[in-house]
Amino acid sequence: MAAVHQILIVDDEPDLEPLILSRMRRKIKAGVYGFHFALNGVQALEVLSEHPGIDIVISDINMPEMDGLTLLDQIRKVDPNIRAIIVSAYGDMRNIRTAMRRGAVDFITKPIDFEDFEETIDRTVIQLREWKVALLARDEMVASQTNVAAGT
Amino acid sequence: MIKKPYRILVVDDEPDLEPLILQRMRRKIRSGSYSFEFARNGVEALEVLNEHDDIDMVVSDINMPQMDGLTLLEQIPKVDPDIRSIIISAYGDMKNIRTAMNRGAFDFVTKPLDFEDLQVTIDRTLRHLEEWREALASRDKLVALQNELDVASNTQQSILPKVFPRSDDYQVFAHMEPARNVGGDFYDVIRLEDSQVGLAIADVSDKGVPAALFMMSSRTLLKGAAIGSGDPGSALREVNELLYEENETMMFVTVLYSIYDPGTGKLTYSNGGHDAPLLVRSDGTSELLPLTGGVALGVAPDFEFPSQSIQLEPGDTVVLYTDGVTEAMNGEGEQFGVGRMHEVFAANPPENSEQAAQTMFDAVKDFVGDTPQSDDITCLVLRRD
Repeated sequence: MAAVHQILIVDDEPDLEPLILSRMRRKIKAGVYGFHFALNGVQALEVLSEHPGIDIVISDINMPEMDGLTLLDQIRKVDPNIRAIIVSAYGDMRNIRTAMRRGAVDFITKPIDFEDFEETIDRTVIQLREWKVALLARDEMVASQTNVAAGT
Repeated sequence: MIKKPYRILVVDDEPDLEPLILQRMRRKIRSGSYSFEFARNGVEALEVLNEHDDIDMVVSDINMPQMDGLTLLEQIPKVDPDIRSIIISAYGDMKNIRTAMNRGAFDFVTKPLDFEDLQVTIDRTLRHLEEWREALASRDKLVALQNELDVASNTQQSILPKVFPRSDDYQVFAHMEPARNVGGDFYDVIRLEDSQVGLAIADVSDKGVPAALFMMSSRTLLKGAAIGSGDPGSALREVNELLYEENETMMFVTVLYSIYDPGTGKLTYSNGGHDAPLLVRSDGTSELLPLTGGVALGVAPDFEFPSQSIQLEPGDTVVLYTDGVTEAMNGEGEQFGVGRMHEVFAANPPENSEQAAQTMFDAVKDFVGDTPQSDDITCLVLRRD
């Protein structure tokens, strides 16, 4: 069974994958988080179209083919409800500000502080859950109005 | 309606910031987009928040006397969890920025303040806040709407009789399964003079609340007409005239109304465009009773509704139903149909009125499987013992 929350990690460093899988193994084993990996923005968009269940993307900025800032713009087109978190070099304020202004909900810095990484994901998941509950209510509202109206 | 400006609380111990913000944001202030409140530290900020319950967002510095920005971040949700906060940090102060974000800051800006970035960040925060509030508003409206529909549904269900006449000679049972909160089907069981009993089943043409309202008035008119008339046809005629006079919606209702005389076993019925009743013999064989030639009620005036009588023998069962039964659809798009009604009773000859109705509802349920119910399903069963 797929994990409750599907997260896509986009980074051109292949070393990141085993590191994340090892650091997050408890939550992966418990089925709370499931991770997908892509090496650049183009691959990331492919993974997103194959796995519509992904609702959080954590992306590096500097990558070949398509960088993280461009990916941010593309993700919004794929699904505006996906939450994006950008990974930047420590203290790279210019890129962090650009990413936030392009709609990233948060950022983490390299080298990755896994405590911060986990806290950031947890917080994003909680916000996303609240948002989805509210969206669901909005959809149900539309359905109820149909229910009240005449005709089929 | 004129939109109120967004109220932004700026918290910083530097007194220079206030005139600077008022000056840089003057256009937004003048156009009525923003209005600002100022506080010098976290404690003051909380006082302002408690005094003004209409603050939308907080922009706060980190280092301040009495209560710093990071502590303030933790306090704000206790005042109002929907207030969004932006933190102002020293440029490159990653540790404090991360702490602020993990404490729920929506975003951050850095010092020295880049007012263009501040403006964009405030706008983005307010846009997010607006979306969030709209979603919350739909949630509240949804709850209110569902409550009202529940009341409507209960009112509708409450006018359908749940206790049925029963004697050694005959029994009646009826049930309506609405497809939505409110429905357009109804049935009625009306006690008449000389221990006769009026039995009605009806189906309003439309769906939803309009159909439910039409159903309520049809049912009341029919009850009145039934009590004043010993003949089903003349009762329908009267209801048709009254419905037609006040029908501006082009809705109509099909009605099968019958009067049963327990003394003789005679059932007299008249049909207003409704499906033919099913007569089931004690051995399970069944046939549709002939229609009487009436049309649906509420469409045109001056219609005659002929009545017809049949003699029920002990063990005979008459099933009145709406097209929610015959037109119930399964996953393959097939309809339940009259043929299956014959089959169901051939396999399960009626033992009493409730069991006969239950048999029918169960058969329809088995037939449709997981296919969502699209129409109200109603059944009224009379059995002569």
